[in-house]
Amino acid sequence: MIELKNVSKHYKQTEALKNVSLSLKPGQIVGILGPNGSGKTTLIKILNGLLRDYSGEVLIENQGIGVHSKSLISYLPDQTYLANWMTGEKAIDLFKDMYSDFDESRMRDLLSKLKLDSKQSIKTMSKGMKERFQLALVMSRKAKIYILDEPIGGVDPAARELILNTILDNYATDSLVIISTHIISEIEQIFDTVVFLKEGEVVLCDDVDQIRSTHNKSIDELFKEIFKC
Amino acid sequence: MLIKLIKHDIKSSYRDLFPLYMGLLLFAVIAAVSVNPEREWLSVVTILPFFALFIATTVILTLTVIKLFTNRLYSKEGYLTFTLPVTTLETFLSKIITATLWTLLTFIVYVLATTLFAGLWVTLNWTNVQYALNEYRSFWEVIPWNTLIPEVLRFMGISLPQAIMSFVYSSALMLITVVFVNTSYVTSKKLAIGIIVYLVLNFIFNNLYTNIFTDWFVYKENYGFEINWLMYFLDFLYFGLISVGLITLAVWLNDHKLELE
Repeated sequence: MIELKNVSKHYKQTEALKNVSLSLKPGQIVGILGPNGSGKTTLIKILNGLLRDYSGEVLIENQGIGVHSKSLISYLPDQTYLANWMTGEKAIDLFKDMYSDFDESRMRDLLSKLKLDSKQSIKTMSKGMKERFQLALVMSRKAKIYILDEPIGGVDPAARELILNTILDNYATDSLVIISTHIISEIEQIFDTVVFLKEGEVVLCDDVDQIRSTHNKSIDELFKEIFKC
Repeated sequence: MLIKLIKHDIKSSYRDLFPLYMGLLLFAVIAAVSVNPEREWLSVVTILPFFALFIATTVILTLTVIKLFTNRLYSKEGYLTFTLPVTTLETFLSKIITATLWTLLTFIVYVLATTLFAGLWVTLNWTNVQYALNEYRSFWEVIPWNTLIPEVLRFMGISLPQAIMSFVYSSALMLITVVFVNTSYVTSKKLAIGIIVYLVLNFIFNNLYTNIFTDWFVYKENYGFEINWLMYFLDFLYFGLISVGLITLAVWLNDHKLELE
């Protein structure tokens, strides 16, 4: 479903990604794991067409980044993208108009579960409310690919559980879910596959059960071992 | 999809402009009703806000257009704008069409407000108008009204497509500047570089224009004018081709060099 072949990306003198090659299949939850600055967000921005100047090849359903790939991906960035002029209803209208796979009834259901009011303006929402609203929008699409960049970064443990449950309850099992994070312990049980990124390079990409049996360690323990300072 | 994008772009900006349009039309009526030579203070109190609203609307329109090409494209909103399943060309055309629509609508509101003010004022102060006409009869009689009004209307009709093209050209220039500073070519001092790029490009295209073309309209006696139709079409073609070229380049740059922060 997603193929990356020798993808490299430079920012000035910094090499953010070095010859990254990956093949990700549908029907699994993939964790992109690495410390801050390891290239997770760069990789995700490339997949979403927000960074276009890179070398190598990126294919999504055998096509390059474009209208088709964007129609397949439901993307949650690591920051709020909803504008202050919007109300929740206007954001819902936008998603309804733009994405044929947007399920409005699921959205309404998620809003009540997440205790959000769609009539409230984005401007008056707290940071946490904006993040939850955005998550609801993203998970209300019946997308083939979900890409969630640090969905539990910077939230308290109670909210983390709510966010993880929202993700797990709403993705289609035949879709591909990519979650980037540097907080492993609370999320590792949901991954089928993990990709360890270190200074822009893939140092490990394998099935979670395989890793556990080979290394006889949890993903969190292995992560700490590989990335210890 | 283009229509849907335009709809959402209009939704993003109508709250800034509509209250001003309403205010302009309302104050056109209030100002016209309150103009009275015997109560000058009242005239000042109502006419000043009326003119202040013209200035405010122009400023807010300018800011709205700038925001369409900056905040709506490349700030945090870019994470949404550039992940929508639409082509880059559709995204850019939506901004240009929305900006042009707001500019046209603002112009129409200006004309309406002025006409409303003048019409009401003349109607309500007919005695004063007659007095003024008598006082300045010689001045009024010099103006060939029968010729002037149709000529002004003709000029407005002929120059409207040029004005729209000129606005599209300015929008395309703003677009290429904003797109350029958000590519991997520019990593710092984006605002300064953007202003320089805009000014340099505008200088080049305008100088090229003045060196190649002559004016497409020529003033004649008695408020008349003539149109040099060849120059008129060449002028239209020149700015049209530059706009198409700039938009095409902006799409290419965005699709190959975009670097959203």
